[in-house]
Amino acid sequence: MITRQSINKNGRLIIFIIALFWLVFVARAIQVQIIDGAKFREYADRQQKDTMPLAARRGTIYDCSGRPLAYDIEAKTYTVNPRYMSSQDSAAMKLSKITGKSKAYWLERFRKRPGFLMVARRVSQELAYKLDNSDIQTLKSRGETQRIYPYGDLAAEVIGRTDADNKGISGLEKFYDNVLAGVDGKSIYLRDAYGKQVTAWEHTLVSPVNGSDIYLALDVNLQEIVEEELRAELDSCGAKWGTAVFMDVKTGGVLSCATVETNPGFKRARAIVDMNEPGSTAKLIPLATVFEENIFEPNDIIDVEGGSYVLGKHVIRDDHAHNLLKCSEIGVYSSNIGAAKLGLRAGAEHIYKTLAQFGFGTKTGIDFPGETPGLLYKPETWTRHNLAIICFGYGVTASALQIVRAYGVVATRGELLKPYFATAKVTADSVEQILNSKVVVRKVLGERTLRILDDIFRDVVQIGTAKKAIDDICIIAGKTGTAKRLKEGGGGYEAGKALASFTGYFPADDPRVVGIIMFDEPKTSVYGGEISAPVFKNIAKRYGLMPGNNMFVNYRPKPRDEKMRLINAGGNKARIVKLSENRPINKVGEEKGKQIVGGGFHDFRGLTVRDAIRKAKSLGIGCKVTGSGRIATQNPAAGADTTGVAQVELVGEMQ
Amino acid sequence: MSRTFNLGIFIPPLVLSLIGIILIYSATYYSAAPSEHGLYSRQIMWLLVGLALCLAIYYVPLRVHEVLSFAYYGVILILLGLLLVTSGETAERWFRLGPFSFQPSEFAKLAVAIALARYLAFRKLDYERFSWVFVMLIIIGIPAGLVLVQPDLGSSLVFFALFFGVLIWTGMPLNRILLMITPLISMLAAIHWFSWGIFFLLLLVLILISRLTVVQGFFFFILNLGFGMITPLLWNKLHGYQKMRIIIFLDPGQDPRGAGYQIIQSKIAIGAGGIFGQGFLKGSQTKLNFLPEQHTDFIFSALSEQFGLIGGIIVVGLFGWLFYKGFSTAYRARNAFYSYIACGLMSVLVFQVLLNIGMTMGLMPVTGLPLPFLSYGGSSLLFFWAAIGFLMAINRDWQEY
Repeated sequence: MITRQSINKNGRLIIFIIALFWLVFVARAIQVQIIDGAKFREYADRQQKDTMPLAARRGTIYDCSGRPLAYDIEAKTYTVNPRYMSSQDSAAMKLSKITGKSKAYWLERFRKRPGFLMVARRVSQELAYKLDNSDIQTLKSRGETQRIYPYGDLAAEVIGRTDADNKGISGLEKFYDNVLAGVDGKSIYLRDAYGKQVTAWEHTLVSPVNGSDIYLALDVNLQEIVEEELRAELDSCGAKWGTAVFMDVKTGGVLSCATVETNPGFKRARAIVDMNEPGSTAKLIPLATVFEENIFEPNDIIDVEGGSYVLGKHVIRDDHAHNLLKCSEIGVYSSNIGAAKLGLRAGAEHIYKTLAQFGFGTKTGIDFPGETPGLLYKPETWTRHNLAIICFGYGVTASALQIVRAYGVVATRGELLKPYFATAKVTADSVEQILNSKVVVRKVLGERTLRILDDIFRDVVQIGTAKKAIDDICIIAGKTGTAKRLKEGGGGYEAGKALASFTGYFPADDPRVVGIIMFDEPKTSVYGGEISAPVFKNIAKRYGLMPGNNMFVNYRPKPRDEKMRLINAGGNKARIVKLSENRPINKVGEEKGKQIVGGGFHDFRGLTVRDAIRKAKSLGIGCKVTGSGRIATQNPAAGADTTGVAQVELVGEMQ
Repeated sequence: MSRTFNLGIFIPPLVLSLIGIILIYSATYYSAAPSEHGLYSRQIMWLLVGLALCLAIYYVPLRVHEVLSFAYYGVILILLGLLLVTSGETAERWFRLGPFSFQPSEFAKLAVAIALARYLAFRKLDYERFSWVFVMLIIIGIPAGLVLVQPDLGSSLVFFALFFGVLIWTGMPLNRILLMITPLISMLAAIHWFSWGIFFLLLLVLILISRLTVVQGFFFFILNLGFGMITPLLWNKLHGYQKMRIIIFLDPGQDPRGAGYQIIQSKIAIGAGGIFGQGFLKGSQTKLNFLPEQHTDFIFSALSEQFGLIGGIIVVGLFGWLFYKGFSTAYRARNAFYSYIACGLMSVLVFQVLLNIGMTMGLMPVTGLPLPFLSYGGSSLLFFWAAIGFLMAINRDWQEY
């Protein structure tokens, strides 16, 4: 055994080395824990804590009786962080099992979005369950909301839709976005090293504020009836589209607004945003003007020229020719010539004033995006021709809603109402606030005029152009409209293409609902009385008979008291009124404005040779006919300028 | 002969072991794997076994080990060899015996320390010659090599720490010890021709002032040349993770999501602890599993996060106390065999503590070595308690020749 040798010296070296290390360690610990401690604590916070938005619920849209038309449900959105996955392969495998997409698809997506990948947004309950019970690494869910429309396409173009971020992009969703949308909150949560949320620790930094609910005047019952009837008629008449809007006479609230289209695709609320020449429904204007201004009495007789009336260079025609009509009958039988004559007699200023009073040329102010005022020129620019055609609905444009509002004046006995969809909002903390209620924009017409008009509109249905709207118990008053469509690319109006409408209110004795039915270019008939009036009647009857509406419950058929009528069929005090052809239409002068639309040269095509000769004679034009059978070509062409034309060349052709 | 049970050696490791159990409890408390939740109770069991082993060694006369020293060595070589043969293609560090696994490399440290002490204690050490140093290298090299190919780089480094600790303890002049380290420095210097050239200039100076024989001088020159030249070859043979560890040791911030992640997370945990710590079970890095290997390699970080600088200094202080007691035992022992055993075991202890704590603070490479007494692991705990048993016995018998 050998004893130890010179370990003293080297032993000290060992102690020294250890002591040196110890000093370094303590220095390092002080540096890391005290000097840089705050920095490391910040690092720790940054990787351990994360914030996420707390989705606010978007408000519900209810109909008039509290049926939800649009509401939010909770739907989770799932994300992963591929960078923190220990095995992207197994995560991709699990995802592919759940989603049905291939494993390669998920691996590719992991590669493209290594830091943050949205796996599925607003998933179904079923998928959420599967994902919640999967142990996919870094999978994280956050609550979002999804918009549900329980009635599907019903009133879809009115309610509107939201985008991927649940922001309203059309319809009422857009108009009331700031009311419906809530304010998202924010929460802070702990996450572990795998990016997974530690649920035990979560703090709300900012609470979400849910959006307000909105109550509409819209009645789902009526909306369903309207859409069903419109669709049925659209299918049978072959129109391009049909639209309808119904307004509550007592309040101005829109009870139903619907559009049906033959071509599928994006639908818009045509009744509000589309502007069309109204056609005969506009005869309300000259009739109202002459009675209100005491220019004519209802029983005054107007010469309606046997169906063809030359006005300057233009010819105004009636589809159903009459020689003499009472003023009231001009409305009942819808005579263009009569309406034109009433207008010419009343003058541009009066007509314009009435149009303006009835709200033409100004927005209705409805709570809906995309409304336009419509086209209405100043009377100073009107020619006699302009004035004449405006009186039967050409040369002005209006939305269906504007027409309904105008007829509402008669239904309400003198009130021009502001139409609206939303009645009230209820905030997240249950504070109710009225958004819209009855607003009378102005009082229009005297009581007597209104009664005359009401009588006329009842007769339209009973004995006039809308006899297809007659019903035993559901008495409707209204006016048909048949507005010829302009040819594409100009050049007058196209035969056989018209906007067929019926505007009316019911029950006639105590009007509750005013509305319009409009079909564009129906193929089976162009007349509003044929196409739209029956649809209106069906809707009115079905809706009126619904329990709770009770519109016809107490109705007993009884003969009308003829003495109460301001118009009658007898015509005992009738006077024939001659119109002065040279009467100026306004103070400034006449024939100075540009011609917007016009009848142009008469269209002889399709007439038999004999009829064509008779027609030419009645127009005061000479004619030269070749061929036989029906007229195929003519010179000058139909719709052409008639200035200086003394003779027309017609070529007949056997068919 | 004093027969007093030295509490100065016994108390620090006991306190450290108990702290270790508390830390294992906290580190596995929030673990995602339910199987880890019971680890602290297994560690308690291992501690009891370790204490029994410690006392058994304390009461077995040290002379017995003197007799059996080479038998221990032989057995451990056979075990390491068996492990290599049985593990086949997949590398294994453990023997599995039912529910327990057993790591022979831990006990190899003990066997090597005893064998080395036995060899040096019965040999006249001539500082002018290197032959006995090469015998030492062989005694160390065989088990170290078997551990290295497992592969367990960290544990094989422990054997070389043992080698240098004991070598210094022999009283060998420091310039000669430095000369023996030169092949390793040559390997590092060989990364560039320029640094390697400078290294060789300094080597020549060292050879000259060490007054070596011509043969010895020529040998060291060739040795350094050889080691420098095999560096690139060796580098290519290293495993990817081993290469990464060296690269990340040089610049841990280089790859914060990959290999450097552990060091960064450990530093964040220690830094977030501050002076007083976040409190028991309240360390967020530990809780959220950002801290890797928190109940084994990085248990010191879990300690620092929960108990702060104060907790860290207490643990470091306990280790310092143990180091002092251990080395003074080695110093005091009159019997060379006892002294070399004490020194060898202390070298292992000090090396592992320095490397592990240094690693958690980002001062040392990530070697995967556990922190003695604190880290979870039965074999490691048994080895160190066995070492405490030896130290107490040596401390008791210091007067024996």
